[in-house]
Amino acid sequence: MNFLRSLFGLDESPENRTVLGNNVRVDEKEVAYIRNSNKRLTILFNLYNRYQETPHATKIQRVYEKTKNIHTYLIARKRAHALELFHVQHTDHFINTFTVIIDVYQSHQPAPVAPTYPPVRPPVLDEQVKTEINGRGQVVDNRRPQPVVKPISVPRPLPYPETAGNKIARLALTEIWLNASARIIYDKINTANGVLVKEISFTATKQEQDNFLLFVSNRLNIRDISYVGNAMVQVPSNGANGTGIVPILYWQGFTYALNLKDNCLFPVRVNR
Amino acid sequence: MADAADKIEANQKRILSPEQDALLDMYINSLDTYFEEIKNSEKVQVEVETLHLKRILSK
Repeated sequence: MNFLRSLFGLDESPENRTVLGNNVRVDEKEVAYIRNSNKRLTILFNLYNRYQETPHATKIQRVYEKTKNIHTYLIARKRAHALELFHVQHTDHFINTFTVIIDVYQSHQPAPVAPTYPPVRPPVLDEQVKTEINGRGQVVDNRRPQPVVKPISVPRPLPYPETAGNKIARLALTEIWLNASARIIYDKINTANGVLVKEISFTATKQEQDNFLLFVSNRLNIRDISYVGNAMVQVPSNGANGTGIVPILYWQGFTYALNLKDNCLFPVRVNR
Repeated sequence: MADAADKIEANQKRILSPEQDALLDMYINSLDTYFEEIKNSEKVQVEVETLHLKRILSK
């Protein structure tokens, strides 16, 4: 060993070397970079979908494909930091510009049949919103936005008095805070050697996260989701105590809290 | 071939101005350039390392 070290000129300071993956904090950062990169790819793909009806779609698709190639290449070489840098210098600007272009274009269209919104609206009913809108137990289908509601930017003066029977429900996105240390046991498998407990946490390895995503994908029958972290939230449910740690997922351009008990997704905004 | 493509384009609505379209082309090119650069930088790194080892061994 000493011979080898002298050969490579390392005999004087072997402790100066940094071993990849040895430092937990670096590892966490890399996981976050990869996750961010996945999100950007999803956004790019959604952008391509929005351009689908235009002659520019193929070019946007090429941008998506090429970005994905770079993503795959750099991740395979464990260069997540370079990947993040690339996105900051390229992808983010591209997404901004071409989102604005299509936004402006669509806002000038004379209200086409079913305007093509980016698919960020939750296809799963948000129980909280549902009960707020309607406390009488009627089912409100909010899967498809009703004829565009005007933004509540001019709240007064109201044309009619705000009486008890005439209240306006306010839709709100719940803000959540990620908990980096919390662990969630999402599955228990009985094996010959005892019970195998499956956990997910912010610091889980790539493999553990993949296992979890596979589990969720199968259960909810949705694809292309990524894991964001865990958060303590109060889940609206029939049970007495709905407070607990739930996993936060990223899907189709938006973040959701997942209630593992009844497989409900709640749109949330992640506070960083 | 090009005619057919033009016909398809004529049926769809162009959103991008010629300038924005050119920008899109430029962006695609810059992605290619970037990819080439990172591949090359890796090659250079391999060469440098090889040279380094060579130098040490020939001392």
